[in-house]
Amino acid sequence: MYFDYLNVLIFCAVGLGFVFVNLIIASFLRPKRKVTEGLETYECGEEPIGDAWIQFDIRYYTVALVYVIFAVEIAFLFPWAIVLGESFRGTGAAVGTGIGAFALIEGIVFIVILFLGLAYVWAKGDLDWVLSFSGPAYQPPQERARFLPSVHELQELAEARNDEGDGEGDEAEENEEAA
Amino acid sequence: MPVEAVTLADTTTKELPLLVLWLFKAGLIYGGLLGTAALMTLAERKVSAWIQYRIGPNRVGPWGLLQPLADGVKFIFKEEVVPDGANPLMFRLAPILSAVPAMLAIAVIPFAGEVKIGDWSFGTLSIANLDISVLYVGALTGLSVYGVILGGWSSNSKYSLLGGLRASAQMISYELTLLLAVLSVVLMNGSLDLRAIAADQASTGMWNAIVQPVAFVLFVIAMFAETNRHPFDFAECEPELVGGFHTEYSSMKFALFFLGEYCAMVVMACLATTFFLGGGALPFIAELAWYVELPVFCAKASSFLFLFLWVRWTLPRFRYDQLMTLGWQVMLPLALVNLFVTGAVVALGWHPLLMPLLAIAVLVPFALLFGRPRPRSESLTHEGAAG
Amino acid sequence: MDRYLADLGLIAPELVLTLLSLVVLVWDLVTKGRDSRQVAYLSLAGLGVVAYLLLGQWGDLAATGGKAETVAFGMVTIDAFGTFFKLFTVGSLAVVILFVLADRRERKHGIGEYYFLLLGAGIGVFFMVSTNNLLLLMLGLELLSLASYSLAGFHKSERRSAEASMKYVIFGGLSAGIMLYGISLLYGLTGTIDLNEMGIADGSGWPVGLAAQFAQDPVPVAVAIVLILAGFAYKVSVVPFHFWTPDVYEGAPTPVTTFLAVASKAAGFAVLLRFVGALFLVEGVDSTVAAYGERIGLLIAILAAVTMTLGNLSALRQTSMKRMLAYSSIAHAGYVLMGLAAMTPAGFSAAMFYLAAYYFMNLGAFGFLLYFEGVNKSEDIDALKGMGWKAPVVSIVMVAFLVSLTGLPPTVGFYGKLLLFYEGVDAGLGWLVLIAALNSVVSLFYYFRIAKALFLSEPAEREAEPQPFFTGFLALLGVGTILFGIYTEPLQNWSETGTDSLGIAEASE
Repeated sequence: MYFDYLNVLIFCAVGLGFVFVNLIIASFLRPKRKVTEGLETYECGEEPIGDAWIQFDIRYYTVALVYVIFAVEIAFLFPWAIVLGESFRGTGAAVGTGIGAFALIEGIVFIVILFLGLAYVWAKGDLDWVLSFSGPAYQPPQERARFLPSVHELQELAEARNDEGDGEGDEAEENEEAA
Repeated sequence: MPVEAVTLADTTTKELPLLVLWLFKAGLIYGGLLGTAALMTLAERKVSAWIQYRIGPNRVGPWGLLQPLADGVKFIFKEEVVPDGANPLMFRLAPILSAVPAMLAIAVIPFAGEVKIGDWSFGTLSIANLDISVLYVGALTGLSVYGVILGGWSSNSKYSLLGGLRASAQMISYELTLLLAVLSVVLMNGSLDLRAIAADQASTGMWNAIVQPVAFVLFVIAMFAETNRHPFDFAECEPELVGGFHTEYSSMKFALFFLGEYCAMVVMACLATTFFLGGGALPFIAELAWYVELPVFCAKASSFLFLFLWVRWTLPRFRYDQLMTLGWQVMLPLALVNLFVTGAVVALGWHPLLMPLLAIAVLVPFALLFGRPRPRSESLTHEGAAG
Repeated sequence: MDRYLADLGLIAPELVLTLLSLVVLVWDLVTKGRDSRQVAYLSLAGLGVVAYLLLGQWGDLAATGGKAETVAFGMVTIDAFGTFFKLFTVGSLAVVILFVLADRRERKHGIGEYYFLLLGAGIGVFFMVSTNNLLLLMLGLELLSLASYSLAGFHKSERRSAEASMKYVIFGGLSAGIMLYGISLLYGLTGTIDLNEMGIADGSGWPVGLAAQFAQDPVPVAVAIVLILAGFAYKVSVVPFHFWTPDVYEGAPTPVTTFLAVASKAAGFAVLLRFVGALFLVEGVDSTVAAYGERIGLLIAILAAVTMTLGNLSALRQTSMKRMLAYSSIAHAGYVLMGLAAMTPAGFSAAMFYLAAYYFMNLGAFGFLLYFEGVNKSEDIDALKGMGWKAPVVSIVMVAFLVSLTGLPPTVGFYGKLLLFYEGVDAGLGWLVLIAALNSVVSLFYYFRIAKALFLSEPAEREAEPQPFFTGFLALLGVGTILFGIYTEPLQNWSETGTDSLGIAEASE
């Protein structure tokens, strides 16, 4: 068995060798020009403003955290799966220890608790990539205040004055006009 | 066992010295892997051409067969740019980290059983016969995310950073599903050894694609996401991010990223073959010689490779929120439930064919009831989603 | 299978508590956090069940002399010592939940995660006080710590609370790392993570485990033990690992501060007692190890002296009552360490008695603080001026707590301190007892500043809205403080049963 790990090591060395040989050959053969414009960060022809090393969306961290939890869970489940299989099939080291049913229940409890964690994250909306906010709806910006009243405002003012002066009678007429 | 295969073999058979054998095998399998990866670059263009009713590359060599070689030469002769703002060490490290783990994973794939030519025995046709090869593959798949995130971060370009971030979040999300699907297979076949998993399927004749349909579908979907292929190629989604995490890369370093991607595809195809299609087995035939097994294996793996290309030119790209929703809210719970059911079936000793029936009986009505596109998604189509 | 089921029966309180925490979490999710009071009542009911199970277990254990039973492959040790602390933890959890219910500010924030995190911390305490296995101990400690970190920052929009949480995480992470390093060293040196197997001679006459290491080179063992003690010292806020205490206690929501100051700290002491007891004092311990234990005792005595002095002197200058109580809790850690430094079974049971007393009086004091935070919207001692006449019952009860905290008769704190002093003198630590006595006098000054502010000033203008439920509840704690101070038999018996179950050898002078 250990010979096989050595195999892997040799394989790894050959792979690294291949990669480095390619890089080195290329570094000898390719042209080298000393033009500084080419060394700017590419931004479709725009001048880049500032570094790209910025604070990015916190949801990436959330995803990574949930991933870590589940990755650890899976790492624990691999030996569990083997023991469970061996115990119920009657082969291997786990035979006769009577651990099968217990392991099954334990595994289910383990998965259910972690599943609850997933359900929690889910219910709290951390898995939804498009966030919806329950804020006030968008209002178009108000008209700018003017020094002089607009024609529209003058009309309204005049109408209001008419209303005050003439009492109720004119309203019906106005409504008809508006209609 | 592997040691026995080398040392305790039949006395009449002759063996090569170990080191020679190892180097020979390593060369052979590397040659196969890199050759396939190179051919895939050609196949990608050819298949796309056929699907789009074009001819495709046909100038270099017969039917354009020497095109990959020409591309390689071109890469070597290209000027290399390391941007001023980049982190030089990480920038140089990223392509290597992307290419090497992808190539290493091929080491444990059991292409065929013991190879014998005349009196000469060459051992099994795989580099290493680890009895925890599933974990080895899992570890190397996990490493592949480093190349992408480091490449994206070290370039100090906004496109690259976004591409790298998206790709890493996507890869870790789907890695869970991938591993859970594999876990169901492990539970089913009772081993962490790829050879034993393949052999178990071959001996019972029940390939996991049949008895583990849910795991199979999940694995194939996650396989696309893990290799950053369409419809999950957010790392380099051209209309948004130019080239994604490798925007700033050029020359041989760029080639290494591509090499890594295609090697990962080949490895994933081989893994899918081993896990779900019984490796080099044929239905109803128990024992096969290595010279039958190898072509059968290659044919199966090639069909997966063709699937990669086919899907690329057929399906449109997902939106990022759809990707996350699919990964976390559909596939991960489904994989966990599948693990549950598999565990119960193994524990109760029921016939494994119960599982596909159960899957059809439960999932089809479920999909019909809840599987319609939600109106929310439609309203968002034009606004797009932030990534 | 039967074996496993029998094991599960023994850890039924832990299982019920775990299940309860999950049900609480799901309940809160299902109701979408609309009615967190229901969640609180559910938690209280569940804690009642846990307490019932624990009392049953205590009865069984007390009948057999508190002997230890190990379950779950030797990971969990069920003995009277652990059950003693578990009972008090359940009690203080229930009190903290009642505090949350009574706190108007919490009512606004009051979402179910609060209770879930409290119960989670409780699970951590349960496992850490009932194990001899360093790995499980570490896991319990971490579970407690993680829950505490998020609880300390529960008012995340408040700058002070967020800062408290951050400080707690950084200090906690660092000390957990130090402690884990010590544990790994100890594991490397002895080849076991079971405390019971480390110090004991195997009867062959050859040194094994810790003793063998001592014979060869005592330095690595000393390093390991000091590193582990540093981890505990952080948990119980002993100088020089006390820096986080005032800031975290001040920034955290007051019910959480109560939990940290009472349950979390007592759990830390429980583990410390078990660790020192199992390593150096247990029956059949190797003589070299026991001899080394005396040096550790001296180290602890020095730490105790420094801790109580520094805590009391710092408390003198505080204007905020919350901060003052934080420093006072540091000082009390020093007093409890005195019982540990005696390195005798009687000293251990005196420390346990004092911790039990500490539950009563500190829960009460923090309850009072919470009450007047609601009334005054301030934690300043000056704001209490003249409020004694407006809320007489609460204030009088508070005086009882203060008397007990100072250590004056006829309260439980007095008897606890008396026991500690007696055992200290008995173990030849006269100088330490003298320092402790002087410290008690110093503490009189700052404790009675509160009493003075309450009653020896002009009656305040403000009115305190009567809260009969909260008042009655605090009064109950006050009655407990005085009752157990006069009628000391039961508490003393319980702590002695608890100490007996540790299997510590009688002092061989």
